[in-house]
Amino acid sequence: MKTSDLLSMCLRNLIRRKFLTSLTIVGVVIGTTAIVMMISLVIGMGNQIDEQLKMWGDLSIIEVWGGGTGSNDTPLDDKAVADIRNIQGVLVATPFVGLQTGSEYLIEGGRNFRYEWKHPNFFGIVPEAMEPLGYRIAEGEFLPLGKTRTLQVVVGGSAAYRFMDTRRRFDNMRSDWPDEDGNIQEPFFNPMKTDLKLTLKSLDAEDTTTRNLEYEIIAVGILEADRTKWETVDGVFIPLDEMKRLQDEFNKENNIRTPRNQKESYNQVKVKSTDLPSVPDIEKEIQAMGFGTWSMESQRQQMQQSIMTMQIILGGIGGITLFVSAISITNTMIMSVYERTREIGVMKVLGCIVGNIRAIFLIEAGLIGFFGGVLGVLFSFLLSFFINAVGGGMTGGGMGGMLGGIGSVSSIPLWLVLLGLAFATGIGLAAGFYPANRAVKISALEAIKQE
Amino acid sequence: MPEPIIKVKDLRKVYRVGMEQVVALDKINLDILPGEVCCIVGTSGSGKSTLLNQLAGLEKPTKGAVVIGGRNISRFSENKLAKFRQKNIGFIFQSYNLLPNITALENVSLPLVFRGVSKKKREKAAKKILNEVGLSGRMAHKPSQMSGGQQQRVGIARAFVASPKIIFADEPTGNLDSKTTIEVMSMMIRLVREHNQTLVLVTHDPELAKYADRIVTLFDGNVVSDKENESIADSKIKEAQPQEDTAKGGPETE
Repeated sequence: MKTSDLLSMCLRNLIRRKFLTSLTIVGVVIGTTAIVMMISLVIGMGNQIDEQLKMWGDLSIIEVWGGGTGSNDTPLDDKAVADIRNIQGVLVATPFVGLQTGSEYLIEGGRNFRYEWKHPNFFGIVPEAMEPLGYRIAEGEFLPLGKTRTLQVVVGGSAAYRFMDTRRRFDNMRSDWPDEDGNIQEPFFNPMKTDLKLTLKSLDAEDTTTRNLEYEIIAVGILEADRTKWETVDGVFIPLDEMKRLQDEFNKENNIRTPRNQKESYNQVKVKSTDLPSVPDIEKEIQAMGFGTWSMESQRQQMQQSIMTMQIILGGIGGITLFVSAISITNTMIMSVYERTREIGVMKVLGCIVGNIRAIFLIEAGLIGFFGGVLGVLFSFLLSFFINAVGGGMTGGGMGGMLGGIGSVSSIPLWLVLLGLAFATGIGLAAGFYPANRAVKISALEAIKQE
Repeated sequence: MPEPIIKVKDLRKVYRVGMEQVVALDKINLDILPGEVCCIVGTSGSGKSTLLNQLAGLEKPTKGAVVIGGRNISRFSENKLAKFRQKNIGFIFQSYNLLPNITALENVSLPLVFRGVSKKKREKAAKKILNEVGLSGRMAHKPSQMSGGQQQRVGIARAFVASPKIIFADEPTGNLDSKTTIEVMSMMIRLVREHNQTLVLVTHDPELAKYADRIVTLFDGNVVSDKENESIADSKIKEAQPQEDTAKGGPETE
């Protein structure tokens, strides 16, 4: 038989039994929709998480925090940082050290040091680590690698806006946020083009034996402000060694001594790995050293894990539905074989070969699956559209606060469409296998005798 | 004497019914010549239908062989038999066995569909043969819209459409009244003669035997008589001639 004749014969047989065929197709539609929707929801969830993570920043940065300062704790000191640097896959590791004064400190700048910035956030870091950690320079350059005569700093992109005009009581600051017309004000000055002075005031202003410490500083670079990392907005980066010198000098001036049994330990160290896959291993090694770690990558992997679990569960539900519809296809086809026993017999007597008989029933079952698949996919698109329209804003509450209403809740990529169709058709063919075999085994003679 | 087209050698068929064995065909030896109209008669249970099924390869013999055109079809696989039937055998049934959901034209085309003939060619052939059986006006009708006689004529057209060498007919007039029986029989004989085909006819109706060249009588699975039909020549022409007109322009076609 020609393929076109086979197909048209099968289609006519299906159309002939409209009611039963459509009922069976409805079963497949439900099954396909279930499986496609389940997967699409999981994909949507994954996309949302990915988008969220993008906003969170670099996935390959591991944050390490200290093992405490007690005698039994492993201190997160220079030696530990050096050890971390030696772990395979680590690109750079640097402590993030803040300035601890307990008293007022400020940066002054502009003509006659008329503008001041109180309590800027200082970060003492290893200069080499700046670029690998993903900081980008908008103007100027990164921190100098070697020793310099004057204190050199790199400031955040909006640092200039943090200065306040001390000669005015009102309207004494400039804003880096756009106004109603979308215009952004110019800051008072460019920090790179003015003299800057850092003052660490003495702990006790009454005490005349301690002085305020004053340093001349130069801003050598301005960072590109990345709103997901607030230190790039208005942080002040100083080479780690200079940071330590400032702290020491301040402590000395103010007679602050660290207790003898307290070890030196950084509060925070940031580690950048060479690639994403090695992040978990690096984290494990650091944890083995006795420190706490946190990384976006491990967060992502955890989420991925839970998504996968969800995928399996939801996919299973869809699978069961599709399995049930497969049984109904088999049922329909067996009934069809019964009804058409005589017809099959006649066809055999007239010279229809066994392969064609088998093909007829397989194709009919496959077509039921295929049509069910097509309708199921279309129906899924419809459902997906509604879910995205209605449920977009609800995910924030529904899926935990982390997933804001970003992106679509349900997403059906092309591969899912093809998968849905292939699956439905495949299920149809598989379901038709047994009935087709029954049809093949019908004895022509018995069949034509049947009334 | 020409080489027989069908040779039956020591054919035996035993059915198992529960614990008992029923001998349907005991030991049949029979040669049928090309162009012959052979009528197999016998009472119910004589084994005549079983013999026909054996000849058409619809079931396998217990012993012996059926050789058609020099080929032992008893040894054929099911697929080979199917292909053999496509080319060489036409079948006419007592209960017509038309597919109920397709038109007369499509029913007649069916054997050609199985042979993979294109739609254009097979419809041309089907139309031609439907014309010959006098059903040119009923091509688009479904079996349920036709009388028994018309349905059987569709059945006949279907058997002849692929121009097989042999036509088997199993009680072809069993469901028809006597007037229609004459129409249908004479039409079959005419077509067989025109196309120089062999017809093997099974019936319990001795009246039909009049149309045959040869009458084989079965009893309890054995051939009890096998003789030429002497009255054939005259009666056939006498009976067949007027019926032709009826078939072509009879009341049923209008």
